[in-house]
Amino acid sequence: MFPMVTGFMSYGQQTIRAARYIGQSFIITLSHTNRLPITIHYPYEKSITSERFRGRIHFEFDKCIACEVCVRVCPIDLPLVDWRFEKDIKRKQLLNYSIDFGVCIFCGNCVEYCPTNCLSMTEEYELSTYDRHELNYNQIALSRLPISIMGDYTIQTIRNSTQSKIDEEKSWNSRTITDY
Amino acid sequence: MSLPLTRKDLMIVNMGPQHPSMHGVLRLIVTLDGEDVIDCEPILGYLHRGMEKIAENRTIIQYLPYVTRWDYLATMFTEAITVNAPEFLENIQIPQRASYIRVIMLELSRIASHLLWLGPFMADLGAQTPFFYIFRERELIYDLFEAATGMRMMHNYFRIGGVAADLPYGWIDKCLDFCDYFLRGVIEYQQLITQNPIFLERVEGVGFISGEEAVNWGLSGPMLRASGIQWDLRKVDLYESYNQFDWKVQWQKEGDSLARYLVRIGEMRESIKIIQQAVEKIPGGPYENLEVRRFKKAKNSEWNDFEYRFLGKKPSPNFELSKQELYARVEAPKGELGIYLVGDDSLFPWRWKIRPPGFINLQILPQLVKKMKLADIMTILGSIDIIMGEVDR
Repeated sequence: MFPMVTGFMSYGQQTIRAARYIGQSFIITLSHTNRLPITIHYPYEKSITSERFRGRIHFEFDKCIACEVCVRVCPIDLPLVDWRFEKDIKRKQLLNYSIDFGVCIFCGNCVEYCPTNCLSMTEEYELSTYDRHELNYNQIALSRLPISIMGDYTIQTIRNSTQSKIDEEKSWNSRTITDY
Repeated sequence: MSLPLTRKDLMIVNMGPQHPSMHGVLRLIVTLDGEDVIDCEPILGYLHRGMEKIAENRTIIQYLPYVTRWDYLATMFTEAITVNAPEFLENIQIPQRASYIRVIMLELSRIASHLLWLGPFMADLGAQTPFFYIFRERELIYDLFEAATGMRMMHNYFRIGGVAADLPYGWIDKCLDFCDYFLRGVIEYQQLITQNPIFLERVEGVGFISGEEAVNWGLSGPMLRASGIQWDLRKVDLYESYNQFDWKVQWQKEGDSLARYLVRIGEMRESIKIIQQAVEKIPGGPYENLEVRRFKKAKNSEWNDFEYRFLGKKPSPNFELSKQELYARVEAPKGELGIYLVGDDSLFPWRWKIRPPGFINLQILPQLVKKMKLADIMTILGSIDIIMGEVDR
């Protein structure tokens, strides 16, 4: 009889303890009702990417000297550099250049090591297509500039709170440069 | 219908590889007697990509983007060991600033990894709320990473002899803000979790590992420190500049899942302490060792001295590994992450053996879950903290 009573008592105490801590947890949860959501409605709102963001690669045909450093530092030797040695000018003449973005992992090695800075990373990251062969960009597709997020009036851009007004002016200027 | 009749009508249950609480693609074949676990056989290899073999056909620069795919939650550590091993092999010094940047990045990455351990661990125990809270803080860390490196997870930031780029303007302040914010976050987690009796019932005394056992099984990281052994490679090996900061090794002596939880929570606080100190006294100077490309005969002047001549801008993509071998290791959030590197006087490593902490820590699992209940498998597996990307490689 006696152990049963003490058993009930300790069980009751445990229950009260559990209820108290659940209450405490709920207070913490409720304290979160007062804040704004952290997520954004992606296709309609977009956050501005950081300056170093590694998106689709931009390529300037005229700057390239066909040295193939981008191929050597690429983990999978992806960039396809098609050149011919011109005897009269004793230079390599670049004929074609293409990168398959279906395979590229955007590690940025090629951009980092390019001696003439003809490669650069853009802010474009929406590369979905219905056909994966469309992702194989040749030099013409590679030289297209991405549409600035700021310039797209259907999209509301979300600014990081830490970015100051100077940044704001700068990005508006960059819009006028990027957006023809 | 005839089932193989075993000793006491044992039931064999297959958990995984698609089970949500298997943390990836781990498969467990569990032999059950009612609710009790009689035997457990882990089956690995569902995420095997041949990372060691790939390394043998890549220069270090080419291989760096791959390494973040081992342990994809503690990405900076895999990069750190990938550059540390060749650096030690070739005796390359790195500038102080680069070393400090590395420390800050590593500790941020440690926090991110521990956070994404905490969330799923609690979710395994049935507490879903922390799973959403941790993503808030983790997102801030990844914002910091994106600002400095260009990507959230696949950074490709560390280079032989330094880091790829200096910290962007204003990053330091942002990092300090994060530290202040995160300390409050940790307090919130502790209020939410640590004293909760339901949580304590699930973890106290579950998955006990004694100190001797932990050493004998080769465990490392929080698994080892939760069993009362104060072994932290940051203190033991003195790599990077960890000896210049004031911090303590987090350890507990109980050896159960609760102790492992406490060790990890404590480590997050210690990491914040390290970051705050590192950010406070980060020196100026080059962020990259520009010596890597120097000719051998010009090596008379002292490193970073006035007379010192910097030659190259970037470390050469044709970085050659001399014919030596060594074992380098760092303290990753999951334990000791090591590389056994054999050079062959060529651009490619002759052998690139990875010692992943998760793989070694996982081997104690069958012993821990025996004679426990079925529901305790989740707790124990969660407290081990495995990432199948590095277990299978």
